[in-house]
Amino acid sequence: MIKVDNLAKYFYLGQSFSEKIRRQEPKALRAVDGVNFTVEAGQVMGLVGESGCGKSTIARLLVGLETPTSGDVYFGADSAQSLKQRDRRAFHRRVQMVFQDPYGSLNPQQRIGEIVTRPLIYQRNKMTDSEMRTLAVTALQEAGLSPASDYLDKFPHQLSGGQRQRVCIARATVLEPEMLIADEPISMLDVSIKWGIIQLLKRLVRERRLAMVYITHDLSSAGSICDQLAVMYLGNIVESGPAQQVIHSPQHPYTKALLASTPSIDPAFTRETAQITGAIPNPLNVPKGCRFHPRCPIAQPVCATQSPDDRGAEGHYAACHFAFDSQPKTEELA
Amino acid sequence: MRTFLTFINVTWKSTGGRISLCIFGLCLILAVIGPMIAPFGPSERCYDAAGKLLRLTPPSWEHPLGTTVMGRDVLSQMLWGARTAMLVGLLTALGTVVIGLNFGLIAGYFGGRIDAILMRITDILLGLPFLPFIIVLLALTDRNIWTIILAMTFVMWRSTARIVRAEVMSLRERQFVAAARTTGASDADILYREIAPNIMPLAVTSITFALAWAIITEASIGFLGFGDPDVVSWGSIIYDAYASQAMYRAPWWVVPPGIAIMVLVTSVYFIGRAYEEVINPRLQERS
Repeated sequence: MIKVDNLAKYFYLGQSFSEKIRRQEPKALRAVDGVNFTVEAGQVMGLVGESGCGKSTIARLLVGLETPTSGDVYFGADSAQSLKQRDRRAFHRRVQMVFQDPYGSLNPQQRIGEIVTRPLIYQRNKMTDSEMRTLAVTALQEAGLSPASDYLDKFPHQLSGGQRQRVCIARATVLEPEMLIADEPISMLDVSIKWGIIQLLKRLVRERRLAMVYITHDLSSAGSICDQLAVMYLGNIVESGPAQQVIHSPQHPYTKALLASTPSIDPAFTRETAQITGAIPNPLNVPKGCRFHPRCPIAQPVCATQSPDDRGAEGHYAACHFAFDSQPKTEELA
Repeated sequence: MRTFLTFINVTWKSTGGRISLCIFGLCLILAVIGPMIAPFGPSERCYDAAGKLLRLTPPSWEHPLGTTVMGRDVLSQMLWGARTAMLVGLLTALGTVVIGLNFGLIAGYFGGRIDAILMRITDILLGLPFLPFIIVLLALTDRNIWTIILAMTFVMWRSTARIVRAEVMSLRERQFVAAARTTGASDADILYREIAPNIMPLAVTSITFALAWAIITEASIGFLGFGDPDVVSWGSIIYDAYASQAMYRAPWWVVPPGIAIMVLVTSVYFIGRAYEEVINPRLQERS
């Protein structure tokens, strides 16, 4: 089980000379502001939100590309931060990532075979070339590129977007991590290919007992792959719970708005539209009280002063003063 | 090795590149075996059957490029000079790229204070006037071919470092660098295994320019009379002709080294150009 405990990341802005003289506190951009969730092995946790809500920063924190301002991630009882300081390679062996852009995340100068064996070399595994090759071939075939021998000597630019993303997945699984972070892995792919990548990720999670964090802005794909879902707004999780519950009976007005803005393939289908206006506020200047209140259609005076606690039970929580007030109404999803 | 083979392959694809490679290859061969096949030593004086010194004789069967005012065989001097030109050119180019590449990689990758320090060093060198600096240095120290190579390398890596740094700064933000880091790659791994291969096309182009520039500079130093007195170079052959006021009387003496410098340098430039046109790996596959 992987536990994300009160994770936060502030980016401090550079100060002007006069600000330094006046000894002002540096301005903090609160990209991720105290996030908690857990992922079980063999399960997929979805992080959903608009761009700028901090979901990609969480990915970079989880995978060690950024150091958290506070909070930590626990693999069972091991703290990721202390493990990273003690043995950086061992830390990276446990968490791997599939990036959004299958074009930019493969080195154009390396052949596919090299790309998939590089993680083993960087881990200083002291394996022979043929051992590494065997592992790479297995990883490629498990990622759906078989026979792998057709791909080993190709360069990334000779493959399609979907094939490249499979190479990225093979590179991430070759180290046999406990946790896989997928940061919008299908958003840059053709529609016809997306489903295949989702199926592949699902299968890997089940077969390898991976704990996966799936980051997306697209609720419909999150619904089909995730077991748990967390909706993020401005660096906070506003609603979390089992994916089906969150999608079918959303409690937070922001989740409702996100669902309402998801286009349906059925032209006759209309969902109750929640009106939200305006853009996501500047994370340098987070609104007081509930962070969502300036855009919230059901905001009351209390929302501007008091920040809401999580309400709910049985694993389904929403950070809204009015969540679960009325009987949850179930909506049918087309 | 793979880079080298790709380089040959790529360059071979254009006509200009092919001709240039042949010329360069020929010069390289001459540099290696030239002194062995040269009929006379570089400073050997030639006499005719009657024992008279052959001063400024026009080309003949015996001396295909004639002789100098000191009775030396111009063809033999040319062959010895080829070795000097190639030695100076290749070593300087190699030194330039090794230093420039590493400076650029480290400064561009780490940024911040390291970048500032390394780039200020580069800036100071950029302020040095190229030829005068080398001549003063030679005047202060030994007038020796190795000093020339070292002095040229010392000044020439500055521009390579700048170009490489700029490229590294854009490459380090690419996602494949982040991907390598998340698999446990160290900074050295990322620099030399992920970023450096992407710099190689740039480095190869920069090698060719350094090579051409080094050959020209060495010839200039030789022509100005600051060259190694014990080593024949194409520049010093022209200097000798000039100093003995035989420039107009003995064209066979000055024209061959002039043409040789021009042809060699042009071929090196063309190789660089031909390679530059196809540095993108995607373009290589298509043709």
